Amino acid sequence: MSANESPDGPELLRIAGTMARFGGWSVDARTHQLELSAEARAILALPPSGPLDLATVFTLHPEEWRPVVAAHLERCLTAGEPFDIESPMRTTDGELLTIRTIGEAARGADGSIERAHGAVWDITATAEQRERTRALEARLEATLNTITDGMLFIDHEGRFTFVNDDGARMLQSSVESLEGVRVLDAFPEAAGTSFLAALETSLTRRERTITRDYYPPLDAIFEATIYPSDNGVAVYLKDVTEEERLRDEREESARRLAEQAALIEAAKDAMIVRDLDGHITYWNRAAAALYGWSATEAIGRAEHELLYDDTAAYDDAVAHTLRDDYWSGELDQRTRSGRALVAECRWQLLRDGSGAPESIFAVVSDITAEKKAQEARLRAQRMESLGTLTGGIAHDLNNVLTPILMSVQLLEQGEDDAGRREILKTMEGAVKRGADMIRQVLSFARGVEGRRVEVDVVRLVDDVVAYAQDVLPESVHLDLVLDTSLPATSGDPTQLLQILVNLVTNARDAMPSGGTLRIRSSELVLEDTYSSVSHLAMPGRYVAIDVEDSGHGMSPEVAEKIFEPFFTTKDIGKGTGLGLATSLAIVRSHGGFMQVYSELGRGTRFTVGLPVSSSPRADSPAAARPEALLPRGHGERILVVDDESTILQITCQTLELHGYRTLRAANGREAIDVIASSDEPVDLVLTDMMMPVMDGAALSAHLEEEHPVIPVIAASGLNSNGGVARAVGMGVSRFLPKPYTTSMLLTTVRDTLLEHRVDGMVTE
Amino acid sequence: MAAPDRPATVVVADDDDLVRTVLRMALSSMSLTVREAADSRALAAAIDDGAVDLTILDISIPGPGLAANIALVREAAPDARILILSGDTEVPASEAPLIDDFARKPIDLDELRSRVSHLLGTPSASTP
Repeated sequence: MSANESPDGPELLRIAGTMARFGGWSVDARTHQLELSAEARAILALPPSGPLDLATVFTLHPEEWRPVVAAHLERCLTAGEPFDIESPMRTTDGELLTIRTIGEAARGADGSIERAHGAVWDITATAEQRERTRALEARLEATLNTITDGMLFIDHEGRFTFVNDDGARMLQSSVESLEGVRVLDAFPEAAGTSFLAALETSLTRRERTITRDYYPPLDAIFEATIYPSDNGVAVYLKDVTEEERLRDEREESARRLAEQAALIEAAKDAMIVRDLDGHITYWNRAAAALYGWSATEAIGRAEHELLYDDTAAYDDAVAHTLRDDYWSGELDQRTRSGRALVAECRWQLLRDGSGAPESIFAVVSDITAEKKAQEARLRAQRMESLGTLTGGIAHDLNNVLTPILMSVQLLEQGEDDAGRREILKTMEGAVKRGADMIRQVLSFARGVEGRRVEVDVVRLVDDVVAYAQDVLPESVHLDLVLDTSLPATSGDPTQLLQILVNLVTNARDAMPSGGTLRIRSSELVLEDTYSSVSHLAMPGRYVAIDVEDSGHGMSPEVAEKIFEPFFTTKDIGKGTGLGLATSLAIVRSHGGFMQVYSELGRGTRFTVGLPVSSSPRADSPAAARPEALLPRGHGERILVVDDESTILQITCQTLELHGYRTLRAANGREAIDVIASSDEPVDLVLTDMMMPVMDGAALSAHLEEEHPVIPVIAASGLNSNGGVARAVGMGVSRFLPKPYTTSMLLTTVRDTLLEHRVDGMVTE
Repeated sequence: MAAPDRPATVVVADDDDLVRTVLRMALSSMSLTVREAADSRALAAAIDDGAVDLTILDISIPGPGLAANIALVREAAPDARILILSGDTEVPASEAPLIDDFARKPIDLDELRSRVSHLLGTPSASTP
């Protein structure tokens, strides 16, 4: 072909065929003669020219394809059906090609089919490519189906073009019912959801979107990652419902735990968690404050070592908690500083996720103070009801003793037999001792409403010391540790003195073979609630007076009961057991406390704590000091002579209340008779000066004559008539102006007795 | 004070039979006439004639109370002395000024005698 030659149609077709490897063919309907174009011959490596045998060319098809191709050709030749098939063919060179053959019928002028003709292409390369693509697709699909997440392909029309198994499952549908269906047809309720909006975005703007949202129709939370592609989008769908739920739960429980932890940490109650081995794993701030161990120190330690002396009760509580999941009760615990405390505990067994016991959570309140207060209250109530009861009984007992005593005494009078008199005396003594006890019971039962005046504690203690010096035998050394600048307290000086004197007496009795008695006074500030055996003391300022002996001491069991009425360590007959109970009742009524500390075989210390009075001590020193000093007698017999019975009565009662025994006489004559008939010596006579029958002056003159050892105190309202001087000169030791106060009376009596004692020693 | 024509008369008012008995015995041995009363009503009967020198009064005999009993005695027998006997340790403050003497049970025979003698030998506290 030359360049200037204008190519006609068949020539162009030939050129195109050469370039695209396609050729033409025709088969005559009548003769079945095959014609192939040069291009077609070239494709199949047939000779470029010369006749061709249709059957021979057919053999280039693999055997199984020959009937297929033949059938197409036959239908085309007979029925005029066009065909377009792809079939494998092996060239004469042995090369396997994929050949596409199209064919149609060509009709003559009469309309009959003259021949079939068409074109052949070598599409081997295309077919191979297609095959590779198909294999790839299959592999991809298999892969997508093995992904546990959903893979969805959606085309530009919004149709599912591919859905993997898991994707269909997630959407609670099936691959078959989704593929080829529009998203909104399959899921109309998805309209308006964030997923649809994201799909829209990815499809139109070709942007990748990630959407995580709750999808109500399926009650699920999905995360959809949408990747834009040429054919639409690929959706990577994850069902994150469970993940979200777990995360929510985690967040919720973390938040709850944080809240609880904050609450627990800030709680006023101590809260402790410890594992089943007893090792502490949690210890809140209140626990640190209560026990004195910081969380760092406590965590990891064994709880029973840290807090308990007695682990038996603790072990019981643990066993109980393990059995019932819960236990509440009281346990005795100990703080780091050694303070004993009563803990009210609520224990809850905690279990792990599988339900197995894991630890014990304990909430602890310190109820030591409440407990002590409750005990003190109960004790006070017990004492009070005991007091009421004993008061009633004591009163009746006096009625019982009265006939006994008087009958015995009546019998004694008519009895000459010395042996019988002795028996009656014994009975009389016993009755009197009973009456004495009853008197004490009554004073306890009636309570201890005393006066409330400012009491100078320094002088009160001085008075006790003076008493101790009086009563202690040589074998007892008196050791004094006194604070001479103690503040005052408010109370009844007589009662307070009685208490201290009682303690000194007890101390002396505890040291029959000698020892040391120490009296110590000091100021005490209680900042915390002070636990004592006897009584709970409120925080505040106190003056404390200790009376301590080095005697036989007491066991803790005894010390615990020492303040109870009728409890006595003394031998039967030596004590009534009321002294300390009464003392405590008195001290308590003063707002104070009593404490006992004792070691068996080593000694005992009693402490009396009295609250410092709120008013300054300079307030009423004049009123207070004489009261605080009220001296006591020690059973001396005082004969009181007065014609006024009320004065006689009051004077005798006062003296009796302060440790003296009294005799009475209404005038001088009676007084002389009393002295004469008394089987015990009279230690002192206190006489009124103005009396009928025989006045004081005459009496004292008589006494000076007849009984010079008996001192006489003269009492008179006549202050200025010189009678006093006259009287003193007539055997009267001291003068007591009328009306006299209790303090004046007692001081004068004591001074007179002391003076006389000294005189007596000098003269002897 | 006993009238010269009769022995001194003492009323013992106590609800305890044994106490009354023993007091009667003790007082009889002092050659005194003793009347007994177990309650306020009996006391009123015992002092009704006014011929009473001393009333020994228990602090709590059945009846309207101590103050009323004292008033009863003072009205019927203005000259009679009153000695209160009590199983308690003291006489109520309100009654203390109204009586002549007070003694605690159990009382010594000697003390009883001495107080009774004293009371019978001195004028009544109610006498101005």
